[in-house]
Amino acid sequence: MKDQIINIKESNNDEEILSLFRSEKTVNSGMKLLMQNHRQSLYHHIRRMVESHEDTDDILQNVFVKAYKAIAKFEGKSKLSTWLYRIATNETLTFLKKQKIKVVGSETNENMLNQVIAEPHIEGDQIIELLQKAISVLPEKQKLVFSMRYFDEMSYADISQVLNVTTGGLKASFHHAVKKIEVFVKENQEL
Amino acid sequence: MSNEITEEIKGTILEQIDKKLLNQEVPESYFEKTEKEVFGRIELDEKKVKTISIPRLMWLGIAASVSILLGFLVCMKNSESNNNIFQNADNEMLIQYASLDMDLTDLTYEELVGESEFSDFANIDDEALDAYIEDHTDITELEEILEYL
Repeated sequence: MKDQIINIKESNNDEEILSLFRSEKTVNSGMKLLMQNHRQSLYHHIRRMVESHEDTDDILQNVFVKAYKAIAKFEGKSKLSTWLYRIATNETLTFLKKQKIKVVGSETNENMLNQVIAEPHIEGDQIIELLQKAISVLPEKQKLVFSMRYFDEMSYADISQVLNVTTGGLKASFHHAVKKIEVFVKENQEL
Repeated sequence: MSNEITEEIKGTILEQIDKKLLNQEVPESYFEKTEKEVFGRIELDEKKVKTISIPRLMWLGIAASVSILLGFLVCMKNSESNNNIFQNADNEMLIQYASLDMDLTDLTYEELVGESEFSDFANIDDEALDAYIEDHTDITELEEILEYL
């Protein structure tokens, strides 16, 4: 019931944003509303994949600019948030590919671990710190699935639309991610 | 958290974590710069499209007109030079004939076309032949000539 209410609210918001985009006079208001409604979730989604706030901010800007340019082509087959998540995911993966060319393999994960602790707005509680570390060393796909499922509480159907992966594959990825996090936290708690 | 997710993480360390601590909101001040930058980039892109597209179209139009004009001029020049070749050839022939100071109407076929293999014999008249026979008393030689003729 609660999920249903959230969905109705979201579709109303989507409709409002899209209607603002239909008129040239209200395009900027539409863009403003789109950013206000989705910046927190998109920021977290990107931030869980990349190292720093600055990089996250750059990617987020790209996402919004691309969304602005492509919103006329948005057919409304999915929720606006799912569509934005898809753009954000693609942008983030493109960024990470470029980063991988610069920094090779595990060095990136090492940087990420340090960065997680250094960020001021992340709670310094030990278990949370461990969780952040555990997530940061997950393979990219598992990291994405885990973050969308656990943090954003997205349905497998929505994640499937974002990542183009079957729900069966997503369930398996989430399960593996949870197990890996469990092992990582247990091992590092004892140290 | 939905019941489905709670079920999926049941018995793991994730069940013990207070998600409120994880899903902390990013301070809104973080996004003030982002918003400004986004609008700035959109505005810049739109200006670029406007300022670039008009001159680009203009230049494309100019380039197309110039290339058509150049093509036309090249064609004209080619056909003109072809005409000149024929004209020059005709002129050269006329000059050649004029320098020989010859009346073209009096020229024989052989003179115009060039001497044929038998032209010498064809123009020999009977008197010339008699004179020739008188000069050449050797009958065998004469027979040879007659045989040849």
